[in-house]
Amino acid sequence: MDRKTAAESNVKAPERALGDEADRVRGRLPRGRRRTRGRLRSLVIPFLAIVTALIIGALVIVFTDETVYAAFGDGVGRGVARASSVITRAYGAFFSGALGNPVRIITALFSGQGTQIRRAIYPLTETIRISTPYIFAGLAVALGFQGGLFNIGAEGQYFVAGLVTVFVGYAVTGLPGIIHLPLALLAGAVGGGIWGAIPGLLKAKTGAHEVINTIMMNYIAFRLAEFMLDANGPMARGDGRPVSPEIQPSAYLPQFFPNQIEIRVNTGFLLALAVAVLVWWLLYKTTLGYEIRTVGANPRAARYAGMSVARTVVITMALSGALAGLSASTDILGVLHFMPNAFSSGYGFDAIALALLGKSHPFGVVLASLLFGALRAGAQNMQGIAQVPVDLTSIVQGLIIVFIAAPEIIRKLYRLRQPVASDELVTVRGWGGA
Amino acid sequence: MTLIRTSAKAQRRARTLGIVFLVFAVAIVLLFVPGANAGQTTTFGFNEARGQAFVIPDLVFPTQAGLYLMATLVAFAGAYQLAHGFKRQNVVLGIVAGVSVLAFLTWAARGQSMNLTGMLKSSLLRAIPIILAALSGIMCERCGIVNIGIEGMMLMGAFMAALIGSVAGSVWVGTLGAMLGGALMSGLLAVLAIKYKVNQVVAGTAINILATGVTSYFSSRYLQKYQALNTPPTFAAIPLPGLSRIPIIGPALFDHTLLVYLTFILVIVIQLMLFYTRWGLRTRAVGEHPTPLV
Repeated sequence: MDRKTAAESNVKAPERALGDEADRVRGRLPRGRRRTRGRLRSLVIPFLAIVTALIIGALVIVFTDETVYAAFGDGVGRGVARASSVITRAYGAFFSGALGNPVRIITALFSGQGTQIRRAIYPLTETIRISTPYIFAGLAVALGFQGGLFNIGAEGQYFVAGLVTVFVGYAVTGLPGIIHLPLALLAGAVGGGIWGAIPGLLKAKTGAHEVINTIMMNYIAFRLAEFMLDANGPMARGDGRPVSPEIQPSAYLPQFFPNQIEIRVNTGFLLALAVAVLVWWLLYKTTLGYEIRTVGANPRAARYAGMSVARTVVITMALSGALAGLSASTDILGVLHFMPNAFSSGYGFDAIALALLGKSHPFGVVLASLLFGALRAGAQNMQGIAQVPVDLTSIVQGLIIVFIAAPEIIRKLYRLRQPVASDELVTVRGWGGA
Repeated sequence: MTLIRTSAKAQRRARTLGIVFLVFAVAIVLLFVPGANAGQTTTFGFNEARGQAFVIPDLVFPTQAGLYLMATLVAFAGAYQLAHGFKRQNVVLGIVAGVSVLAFLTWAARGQSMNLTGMLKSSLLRAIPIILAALSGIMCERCGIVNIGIEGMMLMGAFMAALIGSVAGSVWVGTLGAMLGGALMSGLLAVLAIKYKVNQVVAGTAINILATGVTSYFSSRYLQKYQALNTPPTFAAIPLPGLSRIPIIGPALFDHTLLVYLTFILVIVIQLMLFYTRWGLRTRAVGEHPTPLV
């Protein structure tokens, strides 16, 4: 879709006029409105996919609830009533955990009391906090997809960047925040970037497949972190706990509500949005981005056009790793302020799903990240209140990916019309051919 | 021209290999030797408790001297490679890698004893799931399918094995359940990839996430609550008569459960099926290039 838009914007004026003329003859909507309508229509499938996945999730909850079976034993009416109350309770907890209770937010806003407002919007801030590292990691994988590379190593790059960031955060002292914070962020980006560039370099030099090598680099990174943060490891705090020392306050990402410790949302989110715009600009407005996308679409054509495929592969992987690294940096500098041994969050693996869901477009990734952040925040609340295991999110996430990747299923379910021209994005090439 | 370039390339590879060997030698001296005290010895045991044909004496040697010996060996290999060059480079590379692993074990077992036979045995046991998963990967790769979802299929198989094995109280029904669970996930991949034309990597990723979700959801809903559902019977080891009494390789290879032996057989069967049957030829042909066959 985006490639098409880019091509369209390059159409010269006379041709565009001709196209408008043709539109009029065929009785189609003019170009601009057609595009908006196309954009809206492209949101239908993701929306229905999410709704369908949530419905199936509800069915899973009902079918695994023993009280529902017991109620059905007393009568169908009772069973249905029990089932609907189970779903309402679970999904009520889910949505209030993800977005907050709207009634409460509105009353709090009208009351004008600071504490009440903060308490009411707390779930929303948690969603944003969780989606911040998701945005970076999702952008990392999406950038790789655009360049035809499948970066499964976001998780490993995340770990390495975490180590580097936290080291710069606690070992460098006496710097003002305005230097220390960017330095720590940069260190994370460089650490992740190097970790990502190694598989890129191996691919460019020897043709070794990046999927295999990023997976292997993941294991190296996990064990490296385990070694460094072991209770007696070189980066341990030294009090017998497998965690790193606290970072200097000068490296903290500023909080939105510095006096409210429980609200953990911070400026990392703004940074994430800015980086998303930056990635969009890089991909669609610069020569390098054009090269990345060309290599991703067809490396042979790229070579024929005089681009250095090897160089582009290395740069793409390095940038991808740097983005994955920033994911860890913002998490440490903004939320944790130290690095635990069990740092694994699954962000790097969920990021693959995010990039797919966002169709590898930076803004799509941001939306998908907000969705996943909401799913995670909501699921935690759901587990606490309705005792529905938090793992339901994985089921819902998996279903969302299936439905978005196979829109045919959704179209059949909802009797939607076939699209006129398919503009599916080619995400990755297999490693059998090519 | 090409000839010269290949030989130049081979020369460079030979030189790199020699330098790598020397680096290995230096690494042994720098990494492992400082860890060992002067008087320490390393003991390698080779005997398993169960009835063995004869007993092999334990190998006891001073740790430091052993490490220096190994480092010298590796350094010599590197020097010879740089000066003359081995004919069979890959064999030498294997030997050097083996000696380096041995050096690591020597360092790890300093001041104590380590049973090498037991280590071999547990290495094999841990390799079995990887072998089976790799066989799955081979079948997929040979017919041109990128199967990212093997992890998810294994998870589902493990879950089904635990659940169905516990309910039925039979190892074989449990094994069938595991196969069914894997096949279900695999069928999902096939439907998504073939019917709905989903990119195989995407479908595989979805399968991994789905399998993680489904197995952990149901295990926290049921398996943790009702422990009886998560107590499957396990295969008992069947030592092969005669063979299992051979020292070292007996316990390592021939004192295992039926599943391990089945895995050995499967490796051979799949090799034969892929390369000596019509089905195998067709599978590989599809993997090479599907269009001419349609």
